[in-house]
Amino acid sequence: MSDRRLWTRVRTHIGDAVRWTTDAEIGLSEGLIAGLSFVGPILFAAALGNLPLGLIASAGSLPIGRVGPGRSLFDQGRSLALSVLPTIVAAAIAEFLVGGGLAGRLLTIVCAGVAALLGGYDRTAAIVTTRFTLFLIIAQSMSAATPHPAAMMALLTAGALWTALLWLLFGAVVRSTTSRTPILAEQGPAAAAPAKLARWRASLGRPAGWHFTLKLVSCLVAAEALDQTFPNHHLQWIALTVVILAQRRTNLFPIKVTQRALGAGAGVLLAGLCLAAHPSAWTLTGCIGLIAGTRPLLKSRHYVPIPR
Amino acid sequence: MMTTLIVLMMDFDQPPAASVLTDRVLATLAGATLVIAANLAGKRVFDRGGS
Repeated sequence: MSDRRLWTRVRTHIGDAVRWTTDAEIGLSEGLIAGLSFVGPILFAAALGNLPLGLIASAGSLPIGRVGPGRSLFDQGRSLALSVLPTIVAAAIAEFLVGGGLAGRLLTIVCAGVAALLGGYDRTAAIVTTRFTLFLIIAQSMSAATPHPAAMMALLTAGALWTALLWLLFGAVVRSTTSRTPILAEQGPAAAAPAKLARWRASLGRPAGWHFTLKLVSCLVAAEALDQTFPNHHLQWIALTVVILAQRRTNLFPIKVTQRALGAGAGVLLAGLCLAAHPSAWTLTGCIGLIAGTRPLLKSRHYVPIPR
Repeated sequence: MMTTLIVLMMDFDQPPAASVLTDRVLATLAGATLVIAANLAGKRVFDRGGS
């Protein structure tokens, strides 16, 4: 391939990665709920005089993105359960593994591998297990930095439940004030569970069925090896980046990887510079609320969502 | 946005040193490199296997 063609392809790729779409409709109220889900626990804890506890609790909101009102309470409750349960399970496992040193970290990789394998069952399982793995690594980093991992797990759970409650209230209001709830994504007829199970079990007999699991586990092992090799550096972030960027698709340079790499790099830099300016606690709380509030809009219009 | 939130919440009361910030940016690049390398290796191995 000539240099000119390669450069054109790179430019097109980057252009696609940063393209902004105005197709998605996100209401102000949804941004408000997303922001409040993070800021609420921080303000509550600040009122009680212990801001750090509120920060831990607000982290429980991280894996729970925008949860639309759905067609019914059951519909929305199911979507929320698929967000909240992996969060709670991941927090519990992180709390269990945190004192285990290297063995605990290797067990984390085993958990991630098992989750990746189970995620091959269907799209929903892929979303849930990715949330689980992502939050497992986040919760483990947080557990390592706290003297009371059990309390941390309780706080993360409380934060996740608070967020779920907010979205449930939002859903109830939307369903009661609109005659027809908009259905965001029409889905085709879902395959029956036995058919999915048979397909998943059959996939495990083929190399392709293990592709994503092997990819994720090998990347996490390499990340752990780098972290162990350079103990004086803060390289735990590699594992988090791997989980955010890894995809089930086998495209070499999918747009999503570029988007996520750009987003992760810019996010680290932006937050680091923001903190380096030594803003007040209230300014930072406002920043967290603003970023959390605009997350649903930015995710739907530009940055691709974590589930895939 | 999730990355920004994670950093803000984890370092809320202790602004990171420049070295920590550098480490995180490098770790992000390392993570992205690992994933792309794994994509490349996977494509070669699994395409060769005809799956």
